[in-house]
Amino acid sequence: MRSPRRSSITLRMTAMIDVIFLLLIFFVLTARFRRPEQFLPIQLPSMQSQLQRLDVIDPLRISIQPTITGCKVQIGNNPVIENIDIEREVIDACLADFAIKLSSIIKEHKRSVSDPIEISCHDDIQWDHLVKIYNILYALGLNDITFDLSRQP
Amino acid sequence: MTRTLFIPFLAVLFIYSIGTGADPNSLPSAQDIQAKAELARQIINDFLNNTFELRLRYEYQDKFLNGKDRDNMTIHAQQTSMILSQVLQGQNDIRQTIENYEGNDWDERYGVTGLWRKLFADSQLTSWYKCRIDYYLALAIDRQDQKKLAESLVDRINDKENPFNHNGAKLLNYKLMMLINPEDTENYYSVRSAVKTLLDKYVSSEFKLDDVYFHAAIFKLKLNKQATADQLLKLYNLLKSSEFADNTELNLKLALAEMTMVRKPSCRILKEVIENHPDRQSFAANLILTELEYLYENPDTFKSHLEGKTVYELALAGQYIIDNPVPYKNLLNAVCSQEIFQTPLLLFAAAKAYQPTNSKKSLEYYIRSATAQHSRPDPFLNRKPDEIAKTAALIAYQMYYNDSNYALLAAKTLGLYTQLAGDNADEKIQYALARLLITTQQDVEARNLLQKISEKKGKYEFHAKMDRILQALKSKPDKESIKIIKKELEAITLEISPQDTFNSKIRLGAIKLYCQLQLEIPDQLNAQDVIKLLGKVTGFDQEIIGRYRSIAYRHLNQLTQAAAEIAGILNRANPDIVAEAETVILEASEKIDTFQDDKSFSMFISDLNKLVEFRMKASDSDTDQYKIIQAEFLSFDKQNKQNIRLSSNIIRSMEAGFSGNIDWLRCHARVLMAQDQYDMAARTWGRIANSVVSDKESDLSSSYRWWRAKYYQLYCWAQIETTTARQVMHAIDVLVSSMPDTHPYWNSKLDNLQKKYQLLSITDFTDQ
Repeated sequence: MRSPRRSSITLRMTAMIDVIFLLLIFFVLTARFRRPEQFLPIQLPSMQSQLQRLDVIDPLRISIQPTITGCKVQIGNNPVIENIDIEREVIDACLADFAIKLSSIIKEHKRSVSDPIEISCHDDIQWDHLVKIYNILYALGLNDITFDLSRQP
Repeated sequence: MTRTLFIPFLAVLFIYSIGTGADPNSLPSAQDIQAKAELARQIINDFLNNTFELRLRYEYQDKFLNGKDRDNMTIHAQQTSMILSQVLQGQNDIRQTIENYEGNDWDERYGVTGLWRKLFADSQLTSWYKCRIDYYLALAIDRQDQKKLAESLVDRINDKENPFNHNGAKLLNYKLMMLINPEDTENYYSVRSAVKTLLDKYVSSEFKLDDVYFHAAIFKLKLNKQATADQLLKLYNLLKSSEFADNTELNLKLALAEMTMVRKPSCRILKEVIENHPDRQSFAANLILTELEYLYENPDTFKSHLEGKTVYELALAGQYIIDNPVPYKNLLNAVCSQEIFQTPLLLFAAAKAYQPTNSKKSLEYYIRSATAQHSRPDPFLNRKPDEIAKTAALIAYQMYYNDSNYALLAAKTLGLYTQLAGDNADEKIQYALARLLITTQQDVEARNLLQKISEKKGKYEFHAKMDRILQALKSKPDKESIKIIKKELEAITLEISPQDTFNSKIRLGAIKLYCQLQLEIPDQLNAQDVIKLLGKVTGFDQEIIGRYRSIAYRHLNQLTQAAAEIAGILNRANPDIVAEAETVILEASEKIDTFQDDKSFSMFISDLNKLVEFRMKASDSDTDQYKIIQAEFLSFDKQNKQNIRLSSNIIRSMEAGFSGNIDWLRCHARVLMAQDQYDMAARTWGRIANSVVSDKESDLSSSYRWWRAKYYQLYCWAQIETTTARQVMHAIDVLVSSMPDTHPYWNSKLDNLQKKYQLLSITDFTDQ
C-alpha cells in the first residue's frame, strides 16, 4: 500500500480576478462625479477680510422673504427700489421678471459686475428659491455676492 | 411871659428906689405922681392885653375849659396884683410924705396945683385896677379861697370910706355876688334874682352907652342862661351904632354869647365879627376847638353837644387845625360821623389827621373829601377836588405798593383822580393807573388809557406805547398784528435817544422784544432786518447786541460772522451768552464742512476754539461732547502740527469710552485725514455712514450727515495709492445713481471730485 498524500487547499484565482475585473468595469461605467464647490463664485468671509477689504461702493441689497405662494424679493434697502413676488406656480416667469428688473437696476445704477451684491434671506425661505435667485445673479455675471448673516430681512 | 413881666419888674425896682430908698428930705414931684399913675395904667392894660384870650375863653362857657388856662390866669393875675400892690404902696408912701410935709409952700406945691387930689384919685384908681385883677384871680383859684377873695373884694368895693361908685364897680360887684353864691348854693336863686333886678334897672335906665353898659347887658342875658337870636342881634346892632363898634372884646363876647345861649345854633354875629376883625378868626377857631376837645372828653354825650354847633363853627375850627390836624384825629373822626359836618374841609382835615397812622382810613376820607368838594365846593377849603384826589391817589398807590391786595382800591382811587383832573391829570399817575388796570385785568380801559397817554406825547409816551405792545402780545395776535408790533418796536428804538436815561429801559426792552420776535423762528428776511436795525442803534450793552447779531447771522447761515460776534462778548456770568455760544458751537460742528472754502475759515476755526474753551469753563455738563468738538475743530488746522497732535491726543484719550459714539468717530476720521491716514479714515467714514443708516434716519437720500460720510469716505479712498481714478469715478457714479435724491452741497462736492478724477483718468490714460 501507498502512504496517504497531503491535499493542499488552493484558491482558484483566475475566476476571482475575472469577477473583480467585471466589478471594476461596472463601477467605472456607472460612476458620476459632483462638481467641486470652488467653481461657485461665492465670497465667503475670511477671518481678516474686514481689515483687508475696503468697500466704498455700498452693496446692492437683495432681501428674500418667504410668502405663502413662494417668496418676495426686495431689491435695495434704503431706499427700496423694487419688490418682486416669486410665485411657486409660475416661478420661471417670476424669475425672468426678477432678472430683467435687476439688470435694469444695475444698469441704472451704473454698477459693474464686480460691484458688491448682498443677499439677506429669511430662515424660512426654501433653498430652491434661494438657489434659483442666486443662479440668476451668477448668470448676470455678478461675481461679488455675499450673504448678510448679521440680520434677518 | 417873661417879656410881659419885664417892664413891671423894672417898675418895681424903680418904685423901690424912690419909695424906700428915697431921701426923706426930697419931696415928690408932679412927675413922680404922674409916673406912678401911668405905671398903674400900663400894668392893667398889659394884663388885659395879655389875658385877652384867656378871659374870653372863660367868658365862652363861664369856666376854664382846661387846667392850662386856669394856671395861666392864676399866674398872670397873681403877679399883676402883686405889682399893682407895690404901685399902690408907692402911691401911699408919696401921700404919706406929702402929708408929713409941713413946709410953707405945701399949698403951692400940692394944693393949688391939684396934685394932692390927683394923687388921691390915682391911688383910688390903682386900687380899682387891683380889684379887677383880683376878680380874675378869684375866677382861677379854688373854691374856698375864691369865696374869701370875692368877699374881700366886695368889701373893698363897698368900703365905707372910699367906695367905688362907678358903673364898672357896680357890675363887678354883681359879678362877685354871683361868684360868692354859685348855682349849687342855697342863696343862688335869690341872689340871682336880686342881681337881675339891679341889672334890668341899670340897662333900661342907662342912657350912656359906655362899654360897661354892654358888658352889663351881656351879663344880664347870661344870668338867664339863654337868649333869643333877636335879642343878641339887637344888642349887636346897638353896639355897631355906638362908639364901641370896633371894640374887639365886646364884639367877640356877643358872638360867643350867640354861640352858647341861642337854642337854635346860630353864628350870624360871629361871621360878621370875623369879617370885620379877620385877625381874630384864629382865636375864635381855637376857642371852638378847645371847647370841642373839652366836650369830647365825654364821648357819650359828645354827639348831643355837637348838635348845638353850626357848620360855620366847625369849619372855623377845621381851618385852624388844617396844617396839623394829627393831634385831633379822634375828634375829627367823631365830628365827621355826623352827616351835617361831612363837609369837604372837615373830611380833608380828618384825612390828613389819619395819614401818618392809618392809611386806609385816611384814604377813605380823602376820597370823600374830593368827591364832596367836587359836588359842593367848600369856601373854607382852598384846595381843588383834583388836588385832594391826587393826595388820595398817592396814598392808595403806596398802599398797593406795600400790599398788592389793594390793587383794585388803588385803581379806583387813581381813576377818581384822573376823572376829576381831566386833561390836567398828572401823567405819572395816569400811567400808574394804566398799569393798575392791567394788573386788575381791566384790559379795555387800560388799552384806552395807554392810547391816550401815548397820543399825549408826554414824559410817559414810550412807557405807554411799550405797555400797549406787551398787552397786545398777551392776547396772541395774528401775523399782521405782529408785523405792526414789530414796526412799532423799531420806531420806539429809533425814536428814543441813547442819552435819554428816563426811557433807557424802555429802549432796551423794545430792542430786545423786537429781536426776540424777529428771531423766534429762523427766517432770513427777519434776520436781515435785525442786523440792519442793530447797525443803526447805539448806546446799548455790547453783550446784548452781540448776542442778537449772532442769532441773526446764524439764521442767515453766516456762521463765521455769528462765531465772531459771540466770541467778542464772552461772559460766563451771562447764561444767554453761554447758551448762544453752545448753539453756535453745535451748529458749526454740524455744518463746518460747508465753510471750508470761506476766506476767513482759519479765523472761524480760531473763534470756534475760543468758544469751546469758554463753554468748557462756563459749565461742567457735557464736557466730553465739547472735548470731541474741540478736537474736531483743531483737526481742521492742518498747518498747525501741534493742534493736530493735540486733537489726536484728545481723541485717543477718549477712545475707551467713546469708540462707538458717532461724534467721536467723525472727529477720529478727521484726525486721521489730517494725519494722512486715508485708509483708516475711509473705513471710519464708512462706519459713520452705516451708523446713520442704522439710526434709521427718515430720508437718507437727503441726509446731510450720510452724504457727508459718503463723500469723505470716497475722498479718503481716492487718496489711497492703490485706488485708480476710474475706480473713484465709477464709485461716485454708482453712489449718485443709486440714490433718488442727493444733498445739494455734497452733490456739488462729489461733482467736483469726479471732475478732478476725470482729468486724472485722462492723464492716466495718456500716460499709458
